[in-house]
Amino acid sequence: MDKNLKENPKDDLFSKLTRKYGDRDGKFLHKVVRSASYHQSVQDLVAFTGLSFDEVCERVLLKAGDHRHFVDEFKWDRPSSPNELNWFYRSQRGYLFGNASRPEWEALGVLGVTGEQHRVLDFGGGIGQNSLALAERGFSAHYFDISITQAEFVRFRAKIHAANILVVEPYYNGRFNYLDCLPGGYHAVLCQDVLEHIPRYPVVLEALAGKLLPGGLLVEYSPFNGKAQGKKMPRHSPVHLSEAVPLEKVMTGLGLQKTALAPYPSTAWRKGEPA
Amino acid sequence: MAIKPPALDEAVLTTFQKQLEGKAYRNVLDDLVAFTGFSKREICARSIKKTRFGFGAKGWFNEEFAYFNPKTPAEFDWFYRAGQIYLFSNSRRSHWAEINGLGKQDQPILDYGAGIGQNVLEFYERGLKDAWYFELGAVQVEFFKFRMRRHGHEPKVIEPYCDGRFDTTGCLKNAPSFRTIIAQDVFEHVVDYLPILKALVGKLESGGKMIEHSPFARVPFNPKVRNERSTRVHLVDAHNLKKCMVALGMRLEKATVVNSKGSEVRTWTKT
Repeated sequence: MDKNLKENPKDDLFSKLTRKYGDRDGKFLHKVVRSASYHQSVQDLVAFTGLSFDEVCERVLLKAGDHRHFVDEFKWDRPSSPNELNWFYRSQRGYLFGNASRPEWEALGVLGVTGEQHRVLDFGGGIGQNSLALAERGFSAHYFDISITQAEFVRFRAKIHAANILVVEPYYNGRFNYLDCLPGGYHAVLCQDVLEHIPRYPVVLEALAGKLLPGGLLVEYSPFNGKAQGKKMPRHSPVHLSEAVPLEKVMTGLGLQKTALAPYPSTAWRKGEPA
Repeated sequence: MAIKPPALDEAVLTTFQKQLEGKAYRNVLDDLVAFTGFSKREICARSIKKTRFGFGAKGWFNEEFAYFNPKTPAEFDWFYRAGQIYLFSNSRRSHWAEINGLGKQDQPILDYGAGIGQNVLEFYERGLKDAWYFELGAVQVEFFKFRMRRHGHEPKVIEPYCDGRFDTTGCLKNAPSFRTIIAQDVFEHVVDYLPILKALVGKLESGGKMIEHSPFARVPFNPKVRNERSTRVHLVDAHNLKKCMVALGMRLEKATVVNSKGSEVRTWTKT
C-alpha cells in the first residue's frame, strides 16, 4: 500500500471520481489509479481492452450481484466437474477486472531485500500485480495463471512496463498440464488466493513443493469456504471451496514448516533447510 | 437467464464426433482435448447444437451474447475478445471451400477474423506457409498458437495492439502487404467495419484479391420476435459493404449465392 498517497481535493481526477462514483468508491478508485502498489492496473486495462476509462472503472467496482462480476459469471457457467471448473477459470473474464482492484501483496516483504537475483513463482498470479512488483525489485519473476485472458494481459503489461517477467504457459508435451509445465528451481512460490479454488489442492501443493529449492519459501493465503483463519467467509462462497484436507497437515506431510515471517493472515512455509 | 440443459442424444454425439474426426477438420477434436483438458465427449457437447453448452437457440451462443449484452462499440470488441463459445462453435466448421483454389501465387495470405485457424492450418498443410492469422478472440488466438505448434508450424499472428494500445486497424501497420485477404463471416459482427475495411484494402497489393462472406442481418435484432437466432450477433449493414468496396477501388469479380437467405461469397480485386 502506498502510504504517501494523499487524497488531494485539488486533484482533478479525485474530484471527477468522487463526483461520478460517490465518496467511498471514488476515493477507492483514485487510490487504485494513483497508488504505485496497483501498478497502473486501470490504465493498463484501458489500453489492453479498448474499453474507455469509465467502462473499466465501472467493471473494477462491480460487486457480486452484477451479472458481470466473477461470482455471477461462475453461477451462470455452473461448472460441475473438475474439467469444467478448470475451463471456467481458463475462460472466465470477470477476474481480469476483479483483480485490478487489489494492490500487490503485503506478504512480498518476506522475500527479502530488493535486488536479490532469486527465482520466484507467482502461482495463480491473476493480472500480475505481484509479478510486476517482483520484477521491479530485481527478482527473476515467473508468472503462472491458467486464465487465458489474464495471462495475455500480463504479457501485454510486461511489454509496456518493460518488466522482465516469464509467463509460463500451461502446456507440457503438447497438452494442457499446469503442474509439469513449471520450470522449477524456485527460491519462493507465491499462492495468493489460489488453493481454495482447486478441488485437489494437495496434489497441486505437492507439485509446488517439488519445484521449491531446499530452504525455499511457499507463501500462501487460502481463504477456504466457511473457514478463513477461524472466521466465516461467506462472501465468495460460490467460488471458494471448503478445506477438504487440513492445509497444515498437507504442508507438514510435504516437509514444509510454518514460519512466523509472513504478515497475518498470510502464512510462509519453509522447505527443509539446505544441507 | 437460466438455461435448461436438454438431454444429450448419444447417437447424435457419436455421429458428430466422427464428423470432427474427419480429415478435413485437421484433428480439431484432438487439439481441443489437448488444449482444454476436456474429453472428446465434453468437447462435442459444447460444439454441437441444442445442448446446454452448444450454440443452438437454447445454448450458450446467443446466451453468452445476451448475458454480457454489449452496448458500445468498445464493449462489442471486448465481448468478442473475451468470449469463449466461438472456440467450440467454430470447431464445427472445416476449412472454407472458397480457399481451395488458392495457390503459391496468392501468397502472402491474411485470414482476418480467422477463428480457430482452420483456414490457416489448411494453408500450411498444403505448403502455403506465408499465411497470416488475425483474430480478436483471445481464447481462439491462444488455441491457434497452441495448435499450430502442436502440428509443427510456427504461427504468424498479427496481435491487436499498436503503440501499446488495443487497436484493430493500427495493428495492421506493421504487417506485410498481402496478395490475398480472406474475411469469412466477420464484418457483420463489427459495429463500424469501415475503418477496418479501409485498413485491409490498404494492405492489399495492387491486383490482389479479397474473398469475403458477410451475412448481415436484414433487420435489427428484436427480442420479441422468435427465430431470429443469427441476428442477435449479426448486425445490419450500416454502410452498404458493396458500395464501400467499390469506393475503395475494389472490383467485384465473382459473387455466389451460398444459402437460402441469399448471402453471397464475393471475390474482389484491387484495381
